[in-house]
Amino acid sequence: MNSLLNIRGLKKYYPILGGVLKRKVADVKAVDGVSFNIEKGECLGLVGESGCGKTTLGKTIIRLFVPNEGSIYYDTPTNVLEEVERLEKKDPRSLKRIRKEYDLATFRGRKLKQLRRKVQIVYQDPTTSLDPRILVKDIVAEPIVAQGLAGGVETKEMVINMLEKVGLTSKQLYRYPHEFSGGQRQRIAVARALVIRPEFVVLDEPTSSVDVSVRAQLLNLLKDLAREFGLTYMFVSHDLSVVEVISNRVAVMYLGKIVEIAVTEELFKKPLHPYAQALFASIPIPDPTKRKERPPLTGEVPSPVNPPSGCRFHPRCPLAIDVCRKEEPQLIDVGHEHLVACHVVASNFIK
Amino acid sequence: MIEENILDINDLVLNFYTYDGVVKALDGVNLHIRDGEILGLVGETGCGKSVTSFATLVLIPSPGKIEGGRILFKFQDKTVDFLKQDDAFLRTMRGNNVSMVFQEPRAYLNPVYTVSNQISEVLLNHRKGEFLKMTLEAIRQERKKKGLKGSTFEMNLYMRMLKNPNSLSSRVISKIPRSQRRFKQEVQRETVKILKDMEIPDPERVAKMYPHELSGGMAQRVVIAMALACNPKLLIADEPTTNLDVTVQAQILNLIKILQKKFKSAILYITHDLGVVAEISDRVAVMYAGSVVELAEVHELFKKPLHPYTRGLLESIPQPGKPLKSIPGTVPNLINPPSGCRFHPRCPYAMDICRKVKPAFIDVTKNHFTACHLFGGSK
Repeated sequence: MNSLLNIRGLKKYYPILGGVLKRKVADVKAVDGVSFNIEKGECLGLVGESGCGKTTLGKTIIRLFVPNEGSIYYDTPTNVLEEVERLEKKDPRSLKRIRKEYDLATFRGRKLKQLRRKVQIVYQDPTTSLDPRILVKDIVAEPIVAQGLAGGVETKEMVINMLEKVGLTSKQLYRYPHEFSGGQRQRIAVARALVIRPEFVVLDEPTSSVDVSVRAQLLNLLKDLAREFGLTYMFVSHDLSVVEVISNRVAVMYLGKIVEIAVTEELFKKPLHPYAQALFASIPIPDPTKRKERPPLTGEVPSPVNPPSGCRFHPRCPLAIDVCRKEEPQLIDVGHEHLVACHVVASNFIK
Repeated sequence: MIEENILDINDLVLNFYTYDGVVKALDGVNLHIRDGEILGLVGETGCGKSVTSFATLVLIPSPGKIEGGRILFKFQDKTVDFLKQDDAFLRTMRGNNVSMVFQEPRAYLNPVYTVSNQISEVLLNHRKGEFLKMTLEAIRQERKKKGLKGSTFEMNLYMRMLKNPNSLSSRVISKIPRSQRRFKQEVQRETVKILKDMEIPDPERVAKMYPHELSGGMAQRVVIAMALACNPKLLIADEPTTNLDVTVQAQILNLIKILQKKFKSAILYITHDLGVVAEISDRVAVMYAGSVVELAEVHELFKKPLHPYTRGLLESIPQPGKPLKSIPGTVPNLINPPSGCRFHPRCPYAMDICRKVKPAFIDVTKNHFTACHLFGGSK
């Protein structure tokens, strides 16, 4: 398959300022060395507890944040990526030319603005992401205006067209966001993101602020739109049941690291990383006959300012062995594109 | 076997008088909670779940007004109607016999008091006499060991406070911090014990913390500790795990189950998550637009839902491999609710009678209640 995004060793730290001079005293390591691919036309689900860096990762990928380290290769030909891999080991300096052309992390100015046409984001809470004092027609038209893509009449046509696609009518053009229900507001936010026909959309918990019955409608809409426009999604969520329905592949994050990536069915059937296992075991199943007595995960997520040494999950892990405390596990492929970062799983696999 | 209902809510009607019109928030709510069971209450946002829970404790803020119905609570072999009691009586019930856990633990805790301060407040409000007796007994035992007789100034003080808690002198004395050191210690010890019951690691340290130092899951445990401090007969939990992560949610649900067995309280568990309901409750009540539409045992409800709304709700749970279904339309505006059955505009089985007559809440099969004309609600 052709990958749309190739992310290599991405890091995003937030500085903590302290003292009289407001100097940097420490870093919050929100995203700490993450590498993965996003294929064209797929929907990659990203799950994890709150504070594990999901949203930061999503926003860094589309360059709403500047990463501290690492690169994001967007729509790069395979031979160039191979070249990158070769050069990274041998001669990192000569990478500069390639990075300037393909790596989003180095983009600035006009190039960044052009990128915004291709990548978009839908935020978690539409009540805060939509300006309460702007009419719906102007909200949805804003990306077109900002990019200078169309003139007056044409813009209006595009807006009406888009609104109809998300299930709203042209009657609602001259209304303000507060006149809509939560589900409709999220539809407006989706319309705004898709009106300029992007290729890649980050969905940052788009269904967490709506009710169960509306959630189903919204997920169906997102699925239909992806098919219609050939979109690639990155679906950030802590709601595992939603991720299971919408994504092709799922990545599990813990404390700034990706611990497991696999095809959705495979991951939900057979999670390998102990954290992923605990996470999936704690989903309440809406079926009283499947009620189970299980020991929940003990303890709490450690602070990302000072993460545990070695594997970050080791203080809470039931399988932890000596090497977990010292060495950081790498993502290894255990077959069927199932990647896991765990010493115990790795040693079992090699056996 | 006839099981005791600890709480009976009958035809509760509640309106909010706003500038936009009268919001008919509760329209004849019927709910029965049995002694020692966990009753799950599910429904969409704005269907009146939380209002029902507040109304149970008669804590309705203006402009809300309870227009009719009865809230019968059984305690000490008596049945009282909360709506006919005065505030002084209700204050002795709230936090004591009936207590509540809210959705947002951090908003519920006072940021300027420590955890132990806030838990002991509950204890001092409802169980002061008990602790005075305990302290007195402890001092007596201590003096007996040393072979001393008679009573000290401190003991006299406690005895006076015990005998006449509302007299001027005991109220003045209780304001002097040094006068009741032993008593405070005793309360402190109980506080730590309660925190320990909540499976909080290192309870002595947590007791001295302020709410901002606690994580979400920990804060929720503290709130549950406050609610259970007086060993209530009924605990109302209003979406206690909504803002928590799944792993923490699993911890809290586990804790609630353990505590329920230990304290033998009945729990009214309000949530919008069907998974949580299936996990925790013995019986389930489904609410829609201000009234309970179905009430049944949990296995029965998930296997054989009767009311069309419950069916729609269960079908809208995402299941991999199946197309997502959803209930068409949106929740009605309660200022101008639909006539007759409030679900009829969204109901696939709506008949003529549904538009005109509100269906009665009746027992269809054994202890399976529903309010729908399809199942004889018109009788």
